[in-house]
Formats: sequence, structure tokens, C-alpha cells
Amino acid sequence: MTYLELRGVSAAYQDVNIVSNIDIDVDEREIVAVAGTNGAGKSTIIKTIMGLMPRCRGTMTFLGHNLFDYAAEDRVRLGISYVPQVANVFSSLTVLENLKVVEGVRDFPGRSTEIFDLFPVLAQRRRARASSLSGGERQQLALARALMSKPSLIVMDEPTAALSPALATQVFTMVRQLPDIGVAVLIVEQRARQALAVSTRGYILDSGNIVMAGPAADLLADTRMADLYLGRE
Amino acid sequence: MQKAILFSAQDVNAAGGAAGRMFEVISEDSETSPAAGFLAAKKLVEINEVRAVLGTWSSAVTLAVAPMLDSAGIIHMTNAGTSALAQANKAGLIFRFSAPSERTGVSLAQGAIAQGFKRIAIMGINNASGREVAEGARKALEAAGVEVVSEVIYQPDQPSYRSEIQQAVVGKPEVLILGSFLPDMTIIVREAIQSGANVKFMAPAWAVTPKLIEAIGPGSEGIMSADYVSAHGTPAYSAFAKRFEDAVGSDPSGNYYASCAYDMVQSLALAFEAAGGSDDNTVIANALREVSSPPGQTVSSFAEGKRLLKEGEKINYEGASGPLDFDDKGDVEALFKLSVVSNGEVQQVRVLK
Amino acid sequence: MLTMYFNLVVNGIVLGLVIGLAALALTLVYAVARFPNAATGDMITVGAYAGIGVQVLGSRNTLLQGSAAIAACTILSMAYYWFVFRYLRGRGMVALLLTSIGLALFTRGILSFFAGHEQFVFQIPLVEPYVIYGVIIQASDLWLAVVALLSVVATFAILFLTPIGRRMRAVADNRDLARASGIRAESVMIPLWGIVGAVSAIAGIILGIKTVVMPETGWLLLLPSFTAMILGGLGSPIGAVLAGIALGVAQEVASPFVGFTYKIAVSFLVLLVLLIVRPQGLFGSLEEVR
Repeated sequence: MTYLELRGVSAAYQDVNIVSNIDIDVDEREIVAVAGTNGAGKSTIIKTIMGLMPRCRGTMTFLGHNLFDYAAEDRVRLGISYVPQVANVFSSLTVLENLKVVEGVRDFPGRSTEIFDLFPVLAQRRRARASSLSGGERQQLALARALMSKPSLIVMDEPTAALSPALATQVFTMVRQLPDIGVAVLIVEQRARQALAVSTRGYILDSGNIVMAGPAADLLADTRMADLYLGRE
Repeated sequence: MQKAILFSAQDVNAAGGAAGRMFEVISEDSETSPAAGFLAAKKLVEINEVRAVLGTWSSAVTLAVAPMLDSAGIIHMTNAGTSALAQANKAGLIFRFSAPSERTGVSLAQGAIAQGFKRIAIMGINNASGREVAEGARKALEAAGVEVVSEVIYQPDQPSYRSEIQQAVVGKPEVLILGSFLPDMTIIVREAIQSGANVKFMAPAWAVTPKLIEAIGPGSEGIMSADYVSAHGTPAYSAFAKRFEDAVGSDPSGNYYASCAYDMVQSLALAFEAAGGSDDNTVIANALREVSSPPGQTVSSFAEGKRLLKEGEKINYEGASGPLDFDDKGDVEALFKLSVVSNGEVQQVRVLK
Repeated sequence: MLTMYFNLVVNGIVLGLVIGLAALALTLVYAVARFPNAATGDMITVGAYAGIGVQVLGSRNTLLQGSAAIAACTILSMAYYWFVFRYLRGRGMVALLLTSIGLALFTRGILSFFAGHEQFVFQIPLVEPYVIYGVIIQASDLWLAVVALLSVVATFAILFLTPIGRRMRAVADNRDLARASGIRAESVMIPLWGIVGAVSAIAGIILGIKTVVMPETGWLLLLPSFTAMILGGLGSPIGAVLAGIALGVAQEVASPFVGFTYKIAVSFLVLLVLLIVRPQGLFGSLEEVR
């Protein structure tokens, strides 16, 4: 079943298109990677889906709802969660407050217990300010916060940016487990090979256009693409 | 002031006018705004072609119009307090019927001495007026050999002056001379009382107003003020007071500036008469100095002076506001009185010499 | 000699609390709405005049005067958001700052039109102070300090102990993430502007009782409050209050050395040095502001 469907989506700052005519699909329990270099427009795609870009066109549906009918504040209720790049937690709030901030959680005590079971490290530090967490704990909190609303889709904006290779691997390991708990993932990444390795399908973005699309394994095997976009291993 | 100018001019015209010509008074409102005052004065000079502008009062308005009047050769009679006026008086056409702020400071010092105070502190707001009052007071006290136990110049518009007060009263003065305006004086007196400072206060009359008494309540009893005073008991004052009561319906004893306004017209008319109706304002200005200063027979009105001038006598006009002997800067030695707040009202205690 | 410094410190603390309250009102808006709200000073003036209004109507009850001030400022502040600032979201800091200056002048114009330029005074009895080992403590100052502290505590209680406060801090911390977490701007902004109004009202009443009430009363407090806000680390409410107190004390204690004419310069010197040495302010960290 198709969760997220983007057709002919363009987004602009002032009058300059950052991304043009994008088609993207994310299906149930699927991990989809959008890979591309710096400035290719990866973050813009994510912000468009979350309703944080002021000017965009095209059609964008989620579980049959036209996303343009929903303000940014309402999309979380449809079942989309957001993990932004770098500033992905409320750093001046405590761990517990980061979870409480999410609106529309019916049974907070129950849900937070479930989340702390998933992330035992966070349970120990629930009263700590997020700014005092280590890099790895911070990534866990970002994901934990995104999971609070029981989303069907999490969109992640370069979750491994500014992380050490070891921590990046840890993040990809967490992402790979998400479909098992019923969550689909759209992830944009500069670390293209690692992202595609955990994904079912992938898109390659260059200068705001999708230049290649297909099953992740095919993209990884394509030597022409590898030379152009994935970098040497 | 305006009414006093009008009835003073009526008196002049009733006495046959000056040098055969009648005075015409044209009124404009400065709104105590320099911009509005300047436009009004420019209109008077250029449209109405007046010979003299009388009765400017606010220092800001006076300084704004003075250079324009000066270069146009117009006689300018004012009550402004600013000492900067001396610089604007290039052509010698400006006559100030009251005294610069520094003189107010001097009179405060004289008042303090007259009341028998031995230990005196001074506070002044950091603007032209406040510094001049403080300086005038200090110089006068030093000249009289009275100790100034401390002098504090403070910034305007502060939410609290407790530290400044603390500094001023640290030498245990008996009285605090304040070169202040109403808002800062209100705060200072309240805070001084609240901090238990056992000291009396003296300030220029422009700060010691009913508003101050209302704000401070019973604590305002005994606050002293120095203010200009008209030349009570002189023939000119009696004549002025009668005319004022007829025109306004009240006693003019609290209205010093009205007595100045009256004198402005009387002295100007005498000068005009003495100069034989000259078209040159410099000649009029010189004549003004002559008819208002000794030597000469003392006169108290235009009508009286005109008669003596016709007989070829020298005269000396002694006005309702004071003796009016102008110095080189166009200033007079104004009369001051000391008042004290008693039963919630400002009441005169003595005239200062 | 030592008692003189103690007295100066006491003076500084009382002065600093007023600056701190104003800086708190500034900081709350800055942290959440991202602009220095120049209309804060005149909101403080409105508070003072609202109290005077009650006095003119015949009540000398400070509690009643304070309540009227809080009511007036809370409503006016929320109205400013609803009818003005709401429409300028996303237009950038300069547009918002200029608009707030415009609102400041507008407010002051209206006030002076109706109340005139003459000073008003809160009629409170003047009482002799307590003197403890030479340190002079005024009973009224003690009360004002308690009220100021209570309002700071109440504001922090809202900020740190209530869901609404948590939402405010979330928006201040990371606006996009807050929106993506489902927090609506209005649900945060209306209470925020209400709190800002109430804090301004209390600052206005305290300032009015300590000084005289004129149309410029609050505007003149704006500069030291801006200083305290920056000193406190732009966007840190605790920092703003502590910096306000520190500024008040530094200014008073320094004045015997530099003279009263230059005591204002001291606070700006402190600010200048601090901005060079520690640009994130005393209590803030730049990361948390973004």
C-alpha cells in the first residue's frame, strides 16, 4: 500500500526553484533513501513534506489525504514524524520534556514507558537536559521523540550529518529496525552507500532533479551511478 | 502675559502714543515648541513687519527665534532663563526682563544663608539649567564663606536617586539646594524622606509647585523655593496691579511674568519716544538702556516719562517687575523672594537682597 | 565606609529588579517570537497609568491598582499580537522591530493625548526606613522587591511547570521541530503575549510607585533592559533577571568611583566588554538560542 506519494512537486525560495518536478513514493514498511550531494535539494524535499516550505506546487498525498490541506502543525496527526538535521531535539528541554512536547499523544505514561523500553539509555537520563546527552544518546532521543505519536512514516533529514562513522553506523542500525515496528522511513542522506544498503528503494537527486530511481540494490550495483554520485568506497 | 502686554499698550496709546505713533499688538502662539515658535516669529517679522517681539518665555523657543530676530534687526524682549542667550545677543537687541538660571542658584544660596543654615549641600540635574543653578549656588556660598559639604550632579530620567542622595547627605548638611525640575525633584524628596535623611530642601520655584506638594504630601512642609518677585510697593507695580485686576479679575502678586510683560511695553514705548520715533532699532535699543537706567529722574509709567522727556529731562524707568537696569548682555538684576511650603501652600517668607 | 557600599548594593538590587522585570518581558518575546520588542517600555507605561487611573477613580488600594494594570496590559499585549504582530510572522526581525517601535510611539501618543505630559504620582505614605547596622532598608522597597521576585517566580513556574510553558520553551528552542510536533503558533503566542503584558504591568506599577508616572516612564527603561537582555544571554529568562540585578548593582557600586554622571556609561562598558569576551552572554549559550 502506498503511504506517501509525491507527483511533480516543486519548491522554491523566493522565485528560484530548489527542487523541480519530483516524483517519490514510499510504501508501507518500506525504507526509501534519497541520496545526493550537498545542495542537491535533499532538505528541501523533507521540509516540503513537513509543510515548512512556503512556496511549493504539485500533488502530495499521504494515506490518500492531500497534504496541502494540512498545516505543518497538523501533519503529525496524520501519522508523519520528522527528524530534522542536526538540531533534531529540543536541547534546552529535558529528555522527558522532549517526549511530552509531542501533541496528540493519548496515553502519555503508557506510551513513554513503551518508548523507554525501546531506548533504555534514555530512561536512565529522563531528567537530564538534552544538551547534556552524548551524540549517540541524542540520536536516540531524536528518534524516540519522533516515535511518540505512533507514526506510520518518519522522514529523516540526514540523520548522520556531523556524526562519526561509528555513530553513523549505529543510526543506520536503528533505522533498519523501524519497519519491524510498523514504521515506514523516508531518509535523505549524503552517505549514499550506507543509506541505500538499509533501504528497499532509492532515488538519486542532482541539482534539484531526480536523475535515477529504482530498487536500492540495483542502484548500488550500477557502476555508472556509483562513479557519479556515490563516491569511492 | 498676553493680556498685560495688551493693556500696557492701551495705556501707551491712551497717553498719545510714542513719538506720535500708536502701538499695535499682534499675537502668535509659540505652543512652547521651538518649531512652532520659529514659524510664528517669522510670520510676525515677514508678514506683519513688526519692530519688536515681546514675551518669549521657554528657553528652547527663545534660542530658536533669537538668531532670526537678531539678523532681522528686531528688538527681542524675553523671560528665558538660559545663559546661552548671551551668545545670541550679537546686535544688542535682546533684553531679558528676568535673570539667567545661574542667578536663581545665587538667590537659593542667599535664601539659605538668610535662613541661617551653616552646612549646605547642592544637587543639580545634568542639563544646562541644573548645572547653572548648582554652579550659581556654589559660587555664591563660597563667596559668602559658607561651607558646601557636597555637590552632586545627577543624570536625568533615572528610576532612583538613592545613591546620589546618599552621597549628598553623607556630610550631614542641614539643607539640600536642588537644581531640579519637577519629576526628578519629586523622586529625590520622596526617596530622601524614605531613606531617613534629616535634611531640608530648597529649589527653584519651577520645581516647587502644587504638583510637588500633592505628590509628597505632609513631607513637603518646609520645602523652600526661590522665585522672581515683582517690585511690590512701587508706583509702577501699583499701577500695573490695578490694571491687571481690571483686565483679568485676579490679584497679580503670583504672576511675575505679567509684570515683566507690562514693563516690556512701557519701557519700549519710552525708548521709542526718547529716540524720536527712529526707524533704526539700534537707536531704539540704546535709548532703552538710557531711559531705564540711572542717571535720570525716576518715572513709573510711560505717560509720566513722556512728559519729562518732552521737557528735556533724563529719565530712569523703575518698572513693576523691578528697577530694570540692563547690563551689556541685556540682563537685569532681577528681584527674588524666598517662599516656604506651609499648610500645603507655597507662601512668601521674605524678599532677597 | 563599608555600610555605604552595602547601601549602594541595596539600592542596586531594587533598581536591578525593575530592570530585570522589563528584561524578562523583552526576553520572553525575543526567545519565542524572535525580535526585540521596543513596545515593551510603553507597555510598562500603560501599566503605570492603569494603576494611576484606579487612583484617580478614587481607590488607593495598591492591590486593586496592580490588578487593573495587569488586566489592561495583558489584554493590550494580546491585542498587539493578534492585530499586528501575527501578520508579520516570517517577515524578518527588522520588520518586526520597526513595527514595535511604531507601536511604542503610537501607545505613548495615545497616553499623552489622554493623560497629558504632567506627572502623576502614586499616593503612598512616606515612611521612615529601617536602619540595620547603618544599612538603610525602606519598607516600600522591601515590598516592591517581594512583588518583583514573586512575579519572576510565577513566570518561571508557568514556563517550567506547565504544559503551556513547555510549549513556549519548545517553540523558542526549535521552531520547525515544534511545528512538526504539532504545536500551533497561536496556542503559544497568545498566552505568551499575555504573560509579557502582565510582567510589564508589574514593572510599570513598581516603577510608578518608586518614581513618577509620565508618558516617557517606561521608554526610558528600555535601554538598560535591552542591555540586561543581551547580558543575560539573549533569550535566557533567568539570565535576563539576574543580569538586570547585576547591572543595577554594578551601576550603583561603581558610581562613587566614576561619578553619577557617568554611571550609565558603566553598564554599557560592562556590556561592551562582555560582548567581546563572552558573546553568548553570561547565562546563555548560542546553541540554545538557535
